[in-house]
Amino acid sequence: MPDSMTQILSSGPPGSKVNIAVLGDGFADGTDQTTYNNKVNDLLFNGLFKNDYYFEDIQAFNVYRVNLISVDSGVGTKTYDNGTLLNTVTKNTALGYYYSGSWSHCWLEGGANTSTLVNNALNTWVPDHNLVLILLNNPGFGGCGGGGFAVLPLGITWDTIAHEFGHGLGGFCDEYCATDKTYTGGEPGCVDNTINTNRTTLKWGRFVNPGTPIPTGKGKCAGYTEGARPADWDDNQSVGLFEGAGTLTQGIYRPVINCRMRSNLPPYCPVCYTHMKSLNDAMTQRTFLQVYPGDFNGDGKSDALIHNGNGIMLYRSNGTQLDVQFSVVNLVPGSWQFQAGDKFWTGDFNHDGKDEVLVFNGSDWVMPYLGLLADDGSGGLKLIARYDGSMPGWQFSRHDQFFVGDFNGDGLVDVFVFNGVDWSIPYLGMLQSHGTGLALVRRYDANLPGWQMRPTDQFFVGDFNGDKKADLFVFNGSAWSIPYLGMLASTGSALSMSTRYDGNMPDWQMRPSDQHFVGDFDGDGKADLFVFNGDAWSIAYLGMLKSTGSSLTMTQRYDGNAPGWQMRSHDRHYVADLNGDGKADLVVFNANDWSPVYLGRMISTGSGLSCDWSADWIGGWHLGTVDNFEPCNYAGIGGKRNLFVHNTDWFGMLRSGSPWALDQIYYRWIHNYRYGHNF
Amino acid sequence: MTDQRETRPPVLPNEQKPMGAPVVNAPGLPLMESVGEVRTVLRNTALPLMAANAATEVSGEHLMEKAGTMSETPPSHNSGPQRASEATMPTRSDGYLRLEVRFENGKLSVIGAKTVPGALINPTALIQGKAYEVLIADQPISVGSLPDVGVRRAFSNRDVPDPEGKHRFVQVPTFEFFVRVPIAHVTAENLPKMNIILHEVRETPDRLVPTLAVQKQPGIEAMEVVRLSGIQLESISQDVRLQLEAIIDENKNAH
Repeated sequence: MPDSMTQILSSGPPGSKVNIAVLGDGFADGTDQTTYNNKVNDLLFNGLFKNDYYFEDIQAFNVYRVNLISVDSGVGTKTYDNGTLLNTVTKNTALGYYYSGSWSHCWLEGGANTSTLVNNALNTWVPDHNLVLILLNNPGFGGCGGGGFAVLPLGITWDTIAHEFGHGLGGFCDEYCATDKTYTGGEPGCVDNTINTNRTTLKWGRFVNPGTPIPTGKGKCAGYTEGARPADWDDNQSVGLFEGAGTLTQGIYRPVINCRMRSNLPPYCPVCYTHMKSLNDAMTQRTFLQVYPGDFNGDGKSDALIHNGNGIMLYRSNGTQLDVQFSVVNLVPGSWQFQAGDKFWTGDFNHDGKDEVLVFNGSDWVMPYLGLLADDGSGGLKLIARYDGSMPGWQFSRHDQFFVGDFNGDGLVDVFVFNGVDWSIPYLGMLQSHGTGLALVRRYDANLPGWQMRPTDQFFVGDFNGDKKADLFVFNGSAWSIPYLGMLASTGSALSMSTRYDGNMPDWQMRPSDQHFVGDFDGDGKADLFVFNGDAWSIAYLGMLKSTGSSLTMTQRYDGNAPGWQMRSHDRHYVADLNGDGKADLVVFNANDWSPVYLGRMISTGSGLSCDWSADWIGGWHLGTVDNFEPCNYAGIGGKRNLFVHNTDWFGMLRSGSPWALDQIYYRWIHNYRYGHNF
Repeated sequence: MTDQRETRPPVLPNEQKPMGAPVVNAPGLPLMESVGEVRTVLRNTALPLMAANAATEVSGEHLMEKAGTMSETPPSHNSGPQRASEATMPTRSDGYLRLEVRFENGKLSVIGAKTVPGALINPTALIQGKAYEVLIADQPISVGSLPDVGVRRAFSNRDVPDPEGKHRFVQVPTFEFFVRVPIAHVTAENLPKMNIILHEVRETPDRLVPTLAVQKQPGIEAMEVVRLSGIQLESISQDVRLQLEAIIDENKNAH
């Protein structure tokens, strides 16, 4: 078999990622190559990228595995005794390395041509590299690193690589103390060692709780020695100032008792973690723009799916904060390959009490794809059904619009799909969920009962007759000489027109720019309709139209202002249940029309609204035009009392109240520091 | 959190008044008819009305295939990779040049070059330690960290006592590293003005300002170790020179 290269982790073009090249030496053709491939998998994918920082930021990395075929199996060896070379065994291998097992000889060494052979292999097979791992076919221990290289025998485990990458990628110093000596040098040039014991100028001071003594541990390679160790102290994540670092026992300090830079296996401490995140942040190419709430573990609390390019991350809520649960780049088993054009919807499609994920891509592949992702059994996602280009009865197309709702009342969330622009006529399909996939039960071509479909039709899902089956409101304000609104009741396998409003609804003159929000604002089990118009009239209007089951009646119309809120043209609304009383409320946001930026609550009493608001700042969150909101229930206490608020760089968790309260704020990445933060 | 107001219009009205009067956004537009008196239907007479009973049969071109009896069809479970559309080849201006630079006897020299397709992203932070920077005149072009460059480090064996229980560091007097430059900057005019600087960074901010040179970054403490001032084609090896000349020619032709 000739030499070859396989890119085993593809996150993006080499110039936008950290590129790891893996070479093997002393692996002959045949089973040796299997051994090599397995070892690479074991070290990187079952080890390094399964754990903490590397798991979280896998999207920042590419891995190129180069399979070099050696004539001989195993690398050459050299035997030293007190520095004297006793014996050399040379093997005919691809790179000409020797393993010596001698620490003072860096455990291994190259032959006369090794450097050239390594460079040739890299130039031939790898487009670019930032880190190079060279695996030697020898069962020994040890390894030699430096300058972006790590050369290792097979006796090494992933955690050693994680420690070495701390040097090779993060520029970290060691935090262990193997030599009983006192450090006498100047301030170390790395983020995780210091000789400074002044709290106010300590380089990692922002992570130190003011109640933590500085120094925290004094003496040789100290633990917590200064006072009583707090009950909630975490040796890996609680930051202080501990004597013993940089391989010496005294005179130099480390941030935590036990970081990966001390003993390999623990995660990086907050200081190292933050520095590693900062260094590679640009390479993740992540933002907080694409956020989808869903309860992915069925604990009643909304988690968050965040999509970026070819990767997704799931963050689990514990009620007040989010933690990384799942991080994947490129594809999940099944398989679904994530792309920038993926669109997501969450819902319980199999009635297991947990939300699944419907994903559609109509733009990035040779054909449109629809996929259904479900729990993989370990908190992640796997593909359980995929439709390539079409499913029986429906040809997917670029501009398909999806709306989720249980239209047959069986407890499994189903899907409406509408396409008004890719065909010569508009289509609406009803895709029933079977728990493991979807099947079309009804398709409407051009016309719905009592409704001529047009490309600009807008659909809204809600059970307006209270029969536990999701119905549809359909509105078109621009395609006809007057606006229309239809109420299409689901029978479970078809739709029927309950009422169509032509031009006017009760006490509401419809206009093309009407905005509709579906929610059961009186808690009677029937989905009602809020309708807002901020620009078609001289003042803004908000209507509350109650569903009778088959038609609408005006419960309350607000002309210009609602109690406690002066309505303006750029008001943005989101349906939620902000006080958990079972009545749908509105979140209202206005960043454009006033000097302050307002985030308001329009609490439904069933027959009207009562409003309040917060302005500009909610805790540490500065409201702005770029903010987006996702009503959810991350606290898990009923209703939809919470908001995920997000923009390019920031992510926040807001709790409903008068005023709003901020539970968490995250910058660039979601991580819960024991004290302090990364901004 | 930073001020998000930069994106907003500079002059805006006063604050909300909880029980304030309705704000008239558009005095030229009418009010909606009063509650209980909504009767008038506003029509755009250039468009038709929707039919009361929509037609049921449709025919014509570019229609979906007939639906048939769908509910009896089991769901599909396709697998395998999704099919890529026509590969989008990176444009020439997307690529970058990876220059291999040698540090020897306190000087830098270019000893290798390779073009790499695809965009180059500059990191937003630097390590404390060695870092490189590429400037054209004073304009920052690219920057990058060089962790543990110039070091040879034996892994520790913490199962045994000193000395093997720690890394064994050897400083390497001569070492090589890569610098990366967007290919669009590799021109005959720019090469003599291209400065490659090796820094020793002692303090570094969490986030770099992309438009600023390393020494001008707020919160940075960095010392210039050595600088290669201008890349002179005549002073580099023939292999590398030919490669750079080819890139320069291609860039010239592209313009």
